[in-house]
Amino acid sequence: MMRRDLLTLAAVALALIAWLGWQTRPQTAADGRLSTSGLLNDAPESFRQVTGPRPFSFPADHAAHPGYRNEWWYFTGNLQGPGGGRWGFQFTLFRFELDRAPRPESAWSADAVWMAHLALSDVEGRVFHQAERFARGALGLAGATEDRWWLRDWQVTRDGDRFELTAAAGTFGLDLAMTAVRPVVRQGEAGYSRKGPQPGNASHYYSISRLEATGEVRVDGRAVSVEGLAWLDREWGSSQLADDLAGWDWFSLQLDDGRDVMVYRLRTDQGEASRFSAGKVIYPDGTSRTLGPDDFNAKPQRRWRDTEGNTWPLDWTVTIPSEDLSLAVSARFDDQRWRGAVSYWEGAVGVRDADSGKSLGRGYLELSGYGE
Amino acid sequence: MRLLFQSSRRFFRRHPGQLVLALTGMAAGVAVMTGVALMRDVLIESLDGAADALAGRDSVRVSAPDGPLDEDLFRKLALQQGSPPLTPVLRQRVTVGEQRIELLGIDPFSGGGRGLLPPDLLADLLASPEAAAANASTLERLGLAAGEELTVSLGDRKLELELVGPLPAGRELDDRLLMDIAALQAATGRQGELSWIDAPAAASAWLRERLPDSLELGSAAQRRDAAARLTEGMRANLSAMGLISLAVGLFVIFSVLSFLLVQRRRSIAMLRAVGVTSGRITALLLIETAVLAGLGALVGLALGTLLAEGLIGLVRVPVAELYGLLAPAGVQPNVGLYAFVWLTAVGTALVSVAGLLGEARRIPPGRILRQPPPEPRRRLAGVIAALLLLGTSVAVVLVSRSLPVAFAALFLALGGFALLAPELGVRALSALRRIAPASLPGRALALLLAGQKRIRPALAALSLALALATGLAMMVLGFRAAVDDWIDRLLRADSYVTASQGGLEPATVERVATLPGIAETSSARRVTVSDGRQLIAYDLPPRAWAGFEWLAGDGPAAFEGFRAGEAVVVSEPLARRDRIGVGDQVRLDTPAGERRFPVAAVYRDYASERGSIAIHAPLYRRLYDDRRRDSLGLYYSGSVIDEETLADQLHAIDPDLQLTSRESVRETTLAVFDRTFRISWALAALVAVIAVIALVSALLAMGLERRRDYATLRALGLTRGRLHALVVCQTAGLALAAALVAVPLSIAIHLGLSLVIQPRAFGWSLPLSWPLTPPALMLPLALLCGLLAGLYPAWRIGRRDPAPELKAE
Repeated sequence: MMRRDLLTLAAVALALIAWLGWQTRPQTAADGRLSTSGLLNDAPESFRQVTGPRPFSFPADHAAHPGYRNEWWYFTGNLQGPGGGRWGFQFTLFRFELDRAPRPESAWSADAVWMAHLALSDVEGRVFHQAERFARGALGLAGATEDRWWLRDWQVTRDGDRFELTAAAGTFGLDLAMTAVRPVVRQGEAGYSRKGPQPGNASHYYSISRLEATGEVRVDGRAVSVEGLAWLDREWGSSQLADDLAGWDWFSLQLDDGRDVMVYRLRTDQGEASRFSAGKVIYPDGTSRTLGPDDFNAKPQRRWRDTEGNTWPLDWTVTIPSEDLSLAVSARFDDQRWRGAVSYWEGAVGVRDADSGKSLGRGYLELSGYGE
Repeated sequence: MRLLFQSSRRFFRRHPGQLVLALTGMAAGVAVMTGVALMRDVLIESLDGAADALAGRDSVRVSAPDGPLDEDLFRKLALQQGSPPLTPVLRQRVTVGEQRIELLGIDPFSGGGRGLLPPDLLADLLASPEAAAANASTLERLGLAAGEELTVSLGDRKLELELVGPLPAGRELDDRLLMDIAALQAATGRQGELSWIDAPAAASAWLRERLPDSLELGSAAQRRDAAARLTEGMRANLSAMGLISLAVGLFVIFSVLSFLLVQRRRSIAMLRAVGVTSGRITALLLIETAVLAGLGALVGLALGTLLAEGLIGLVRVPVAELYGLLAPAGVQPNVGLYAFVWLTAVGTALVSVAGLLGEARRIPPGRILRQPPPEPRRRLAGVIAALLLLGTSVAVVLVSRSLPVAFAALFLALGGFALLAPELGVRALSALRRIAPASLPGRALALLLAGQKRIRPALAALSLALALATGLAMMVLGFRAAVDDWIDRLLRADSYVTASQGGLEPATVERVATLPGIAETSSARRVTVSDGRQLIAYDLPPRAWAGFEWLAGDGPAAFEGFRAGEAVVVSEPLARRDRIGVGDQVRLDTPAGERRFPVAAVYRDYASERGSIAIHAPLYRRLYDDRRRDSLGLYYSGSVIDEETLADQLHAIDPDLQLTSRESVRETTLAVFDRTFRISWALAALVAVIAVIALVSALLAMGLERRRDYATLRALGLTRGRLHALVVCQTAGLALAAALVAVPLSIAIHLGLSLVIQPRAFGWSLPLSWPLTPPALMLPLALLCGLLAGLYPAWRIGRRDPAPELKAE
């Protein structure tokens, strides 16, 4: 009897304590992440669609193309320091045009939102430095003209074939001068790059596949002189991706024999390569050859599991029989994963001969749709 | 010990009512204390919620000392090399009916606020210029769902908003709607303006190097301090109420425990007879008290949390109205606060029963007492102690000027009164009895006086609670009369003109002054100067000057000095806070450097606790190069003027102009005043409820103790109905006696609050006033409560069969 009363008493006290404890729970705000394919598939009809080739004109096409849903300026590259230190870098400006809504009468009224990604892969230290910024396309906070692409103090200026990049974030930064040693190559069919069956599932896409880069990278106040090769991709469109795509695997490889290879494998929801996967081989003389889905094969060889439990294929075999290439492409190190508003993997890779293991070059790999 | 616990358990099982009463008393006292502590926290910790949510907890803020920032500053800073994440904010205060809310114009792509907005919500916010995002509790309070429309008032303009949400944000964004900054600028016509820019604390040095001198860079701690300082007086008052309720709650506990002791006198005597030592009995009583108080305090913590959630609105509204600060709409309890309140409550309960322990130890073994032991003659000592406490409190108030000391003195004085109250109450009861000693009420009171030991704690609790509620009411009414009188004197103009946005331009002022029917105008410009003081520049015609009530330095000489721009006048709170008087110098930091002016006079002012310096407007315009006015007073040339026509004429000059009549300014002021004191009324009512619990418990205790007497009376032929009447007469008599004692005490409390606490908490004095309505109402109300509170004990006592009670011997 006594025991039962004690138990009742204790239960009441515990219930009260539990309720009070619940009252003291901290309140947390949620964070949100953007979906990569969500950013690229749907666009209202008011946006201009890419439905066929168009003549490119330079330098005018280096500037932004209003009217399209999205556009990017995309530098990647592999750099070497004096003591054999190796670095990968990425600098990207994304422009997302906003839906046509009535624009308020204010200097802050924006037609677009800009996002910039800056990353530095310290291969020896196996550290992936990353920084993300946003700005509205207003007040001159971000923009892209023929010879200047910027978001706040991150910027690229262009003078002829020479591009100067300056960007720093907290503990790391880089200053690079990059000079194009290949002409502009029009991807797909004269720059018209189809990515799905619907009209509009396409982009205008051009690249400069080889730029010689010199400059310095800075980490934690220490500056290192570097030189190496960079790659520039430019692309714009409105609803590039078909609805049934889960993501893509994109390779840009610069081989020691002078050939540059770009291939992308669009993955369907079933995990298979879409028939709109494509590529390009660019020869030292600037000429190029388009690769169709049957001209190459990219096969994952090793997967890496990140802390959130997503798996990313980081070692690949890429074969292009017509070029007599069988390439083992592998990440310089595993964790080159973006953890900002968009979850993707973008990192420096080494390229070897798949059979002999002999080093053939370097490049960049982009994986999307694995971490959403 | 097991035997002891079993006896204790058996007792409570047989008398669950007593268990409930003890728990209720404790819970009620602790609930009010907890509720008050939680509301206080809201007034300190969370006032800066918007910055916490948008830019992180320890952000620094760039702002202009007076007025908005130019958005170009943001552009320049953001584009510089190494720029930190900057969070630009445009704030617009608006109202929805009575409710005040803030529209915060933000740039979701700058600074650290991006995490606030999930992608879908961000898209919704950018999709329409009317979109405004709210958190769940704000939507709930507005009674609207995402997707619905909301009309907010900005002066006499209306803005249509389309709600999106809910924002996944906590309390810090209560009653704050997020809008895109472009949309808010356009909707309010505030293009080019920012209210402030927040940045991470680490960016201070970078910003300091680049900011022009005219701008301020303040830390989060400074902002929190400022907010805490603003609400200091209000918090102090809340704390005092919380402690008082706990004190009254403790009287209840004491009363209930002493009652339990009475009831168990017989079983304790038996336990002692079977060899239980008095030490064990003491331990049992202490453990019992700890368990009862601990459990009651837990219930009190829970009730207090609910109470604070319910009453927080009464605190938020005045804080928003008086200080322009939006507090969260809910409280955020923490473990530390709960633990502190719980330990305080249980600790004081244990201390308060110490007196009872002695009595329990003195119960001799085996004897079943028919009477309680004779009452010790220690009353003189009590009176002396009471007088000592009262004397100390007066001395302390005279010696120190600080507010906490004044509160401590108030408590000493209340303690003194608590010691005196039973003595005075018993005398009041005897006096009442003597009116008609032979009647039923007279006999009832005589019986009551025979068991006066039991009614003493109840008398103290009851008279203290009644006096506190009444004294508080007197102070509030006196204060209200003072404010009414002050505003009535001050408002000399026939009507007032303000602009819904920004101030009035000089050209506008000139055009208004030349409108037909306007004889004269006065003007005021309020600015906060760099050291945080408020400066008011007045253009005053002589009759407006006459509206001031001068507390020091009146006379034509002061007016001459002021009008000549040679001297300034200061408000009472400023004079008190900075300890300056007539003839002292005040320093003004002007753009042209530091200037000093003598103080010509001190005026009464209830507008700002921080106080203000009044300066002649032409002098101000010369020193600060600011030609705007915030408001104009219009003096009509004829006695009658058609205010509708006048309003139309003003709108023709500038659609932003608003005409407010003298009467409506006065009404608004008093309405704000009334809303400020709603929380005091609510707490006073709670204290009164606890007092009623004290009353009931005391009467039950007494009834049980005197049940043999009641049984004798019944055996002698007293009918059940007459017995009921007897008991009800006793409760009513007790309540009336307590009320009579409370009358002088309430006047003393009123004087203490008005003359000591108010000037120290807020800086202003109140003219001596004697609002007698509250005590006049309190007497009949207390009598009524006494009558009602007697019904249950009467029923309980009347139901008993007299025979067993008589056989007990």
